[in-house]
Amino acid sequence: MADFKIRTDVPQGRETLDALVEETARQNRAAFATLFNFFAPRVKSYLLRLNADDALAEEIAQEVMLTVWRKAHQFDRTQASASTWIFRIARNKRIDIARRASKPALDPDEPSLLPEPEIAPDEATHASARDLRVQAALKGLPAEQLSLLQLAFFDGLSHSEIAERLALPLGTVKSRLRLAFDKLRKHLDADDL
Amino acid sequence: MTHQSLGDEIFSAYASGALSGPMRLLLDTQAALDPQVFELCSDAERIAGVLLTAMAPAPLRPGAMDDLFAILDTEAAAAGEAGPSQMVNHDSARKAAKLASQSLDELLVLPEPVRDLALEAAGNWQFAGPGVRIMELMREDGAKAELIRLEPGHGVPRHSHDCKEFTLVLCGAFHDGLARYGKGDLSVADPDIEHKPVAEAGEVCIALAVTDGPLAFTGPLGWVQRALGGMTGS
Repeated sequence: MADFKIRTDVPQGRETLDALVEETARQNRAAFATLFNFFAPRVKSYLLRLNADDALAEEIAQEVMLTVWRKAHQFDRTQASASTWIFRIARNKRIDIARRASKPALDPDEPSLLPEPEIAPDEATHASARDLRVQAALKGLPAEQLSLLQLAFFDGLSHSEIAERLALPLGTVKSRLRLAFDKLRKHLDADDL
Repeated sequence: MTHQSLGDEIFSAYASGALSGPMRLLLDTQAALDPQVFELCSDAERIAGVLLTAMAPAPLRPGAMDDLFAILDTEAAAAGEAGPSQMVNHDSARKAAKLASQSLDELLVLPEPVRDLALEAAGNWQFAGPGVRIMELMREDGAKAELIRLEPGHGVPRHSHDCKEFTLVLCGAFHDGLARYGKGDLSVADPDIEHKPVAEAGEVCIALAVTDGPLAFTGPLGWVQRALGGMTGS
């Protein structure tokens, strides 16, 4: 730790994070250290949220970052942002651990699971544009809606499970989530996409 | 209406990793055939990615990064001695080579996620009635994914299901008595619905059939418990 400042609190823009993964692919350790400082504590936080204890969360966060280093050359910012790419690695790792007893259905080291359809050349910037819009839309959401999104997108709960968890009527959950989605969709469907 | 949507919840469950393997395979395959589904899956993962950056950081113990760099150093040293290892897996290719070429051609045109599993299963088609063959691709926690191959004019016997059944047409087309389903179309049959899909004349129809287990959303709540040795996690 001596050689690198830990500054987990610095907000990082998409461009910066993407560039850091690309630098990591060139074996740039300083870039990787910055990436580690930003993502490792967030990945750990994500795992803690999913009921991992501190030691397990720490261990998986380490494994995730190791995979980031090893697979950085596969990263392609026109397909996914650094945050989406690293989320996939973290998610796959935890699925792998949950299913280790049976035959793993996912390759935990393969972050780009979704097979890409043939993308027209003029849509090369499409993915990054959409990413920025999701970011912009989420920034404006109230905490209440954000926590509902976390229950759906991190915990994978259905609407009725969320309602049960929060002791809210199903209709309330549905309408709050619809508000959040409408806002997201308004950003995503805007003009030139 | 031959294209049935799976609904919003399925895409957040997809991104979260809570779906069973067979259900994930269904969405991945649909995404390979349908740009709209691809976009919905991608957007769901985008949202999760942005939510990840918005998490309040949980600091790692001091020295965590040093430990990681130590591992990288060890790896770099080992790579210097042994050289990069070739990690190409020829297993599927070898199994594929055993397949009769006619059967192989049929599998090679399938969308990627299904194709790989079918080759992995070595094209092991099982007889399931006149003109009907079935190949199991994946089974997990009561959920199941299999390929169904219908000769032109043949169909699976009338049946109902314990669970919801999803049928995605990969090539050819079938008619289930109510509607026609062509390539990329998804049929969703509720447990109480009886249906009898019959392939159209002229072309073999191959479809991906997924039955979800009793737990549509297995949920990650029990994942640590399951990992730690099969205590009931769900």
